[in-house]
Amino acid sequence: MFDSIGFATLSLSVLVMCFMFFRQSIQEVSEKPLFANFNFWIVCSYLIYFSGSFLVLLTYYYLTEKISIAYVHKNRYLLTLLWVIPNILLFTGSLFALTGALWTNYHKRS
Amino acid sequence: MDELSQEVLIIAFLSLFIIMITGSIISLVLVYQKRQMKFFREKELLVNLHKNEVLQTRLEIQEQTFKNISQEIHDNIGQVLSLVKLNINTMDCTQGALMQEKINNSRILISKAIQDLRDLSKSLDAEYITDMGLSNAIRYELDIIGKTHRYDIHFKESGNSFTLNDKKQLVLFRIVQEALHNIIKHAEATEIKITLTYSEDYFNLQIVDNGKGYSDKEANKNGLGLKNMRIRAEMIGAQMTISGNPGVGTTINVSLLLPLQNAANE
Repeated sequence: MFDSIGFATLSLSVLVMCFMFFRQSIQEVSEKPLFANFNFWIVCSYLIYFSGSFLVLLTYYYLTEKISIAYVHKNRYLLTLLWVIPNILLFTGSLFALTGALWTNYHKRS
Repeated sequence: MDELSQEVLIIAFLSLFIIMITGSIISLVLVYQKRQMKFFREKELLVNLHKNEVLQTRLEIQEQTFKNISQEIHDNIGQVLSLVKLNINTMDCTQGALMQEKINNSRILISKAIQDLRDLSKSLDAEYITDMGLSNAIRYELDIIGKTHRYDIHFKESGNSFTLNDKKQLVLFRIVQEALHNIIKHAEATEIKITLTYSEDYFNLQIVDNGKGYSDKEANKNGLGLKNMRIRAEMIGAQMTISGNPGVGTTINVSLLLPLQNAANE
């Protein structure tokens, strides 16, 4: 069975680090806007993916266990549907990272 | 809807809610950073403006000083030396008594020119002023003005006097010089009062004249060297106020707040 709780803990630590990045960005004002910093886009993508998936990951183990006890096909389908959320978020996060790469590149050239 | 479906639905909604919160946090960070950048840019702009103003004032002060020196040499020392030259040119060896009188006159005039040069040199020499101390330097300046017999001059010190640091003394003295220059040139006054007040936590310089004063319009024009005086005061962290109405005279106050422990050491 997929150990989702360990993965949830990992998400939490990533989230903490993302917030630390934001805190530092607020404290240390630079001449450049945050948009021009590629790290900002990466952190945003992490934040979107890990914050949205956190609850799913946290409860996935518990739900899988529950379904394993009373196996019903319909229930497994529900679980698959739930897993769609992290996948969509992963896609959104990747889009963010891609936008960031293009944006910072454009900003550098201009 | 069974229990599991409900749980999944709740988790999905909660996740959506968390994503919304995350989005809001990201937006807030961006807005905050943008505002901070705007604030820092404005601050930098203000600092640059102030620097430019100080620089321009310094240049104006320099120009004015040169003008004063030139005026002093031309109107005073130049005139005296011209008279000496005239005396020498018109000396006739055959008229012994007249010649002796002219020599005596020339001697007096040359002494006056030397004294004027000394006064000019002293009033410009920063080291001399700081060595002398603020109150003595002001007294000296007032003595020079007093020799014209055009003004009734009063100088007063109150409180336990202490020595301010060199920079402050010099700046305050230059403010006094500027104010006296204004009085001589524009005020048409007959009386000048200068008061130095020493207190535990502040120092106050007051210059009062009974001249024609000035209107608010004139004061706002920043003419009469008022801007220079204000910026000079700002340079040493002092506050300058000028009050005066047409026909009443002018009062200039320069207040300098001193930290208690510094006042003793200043």
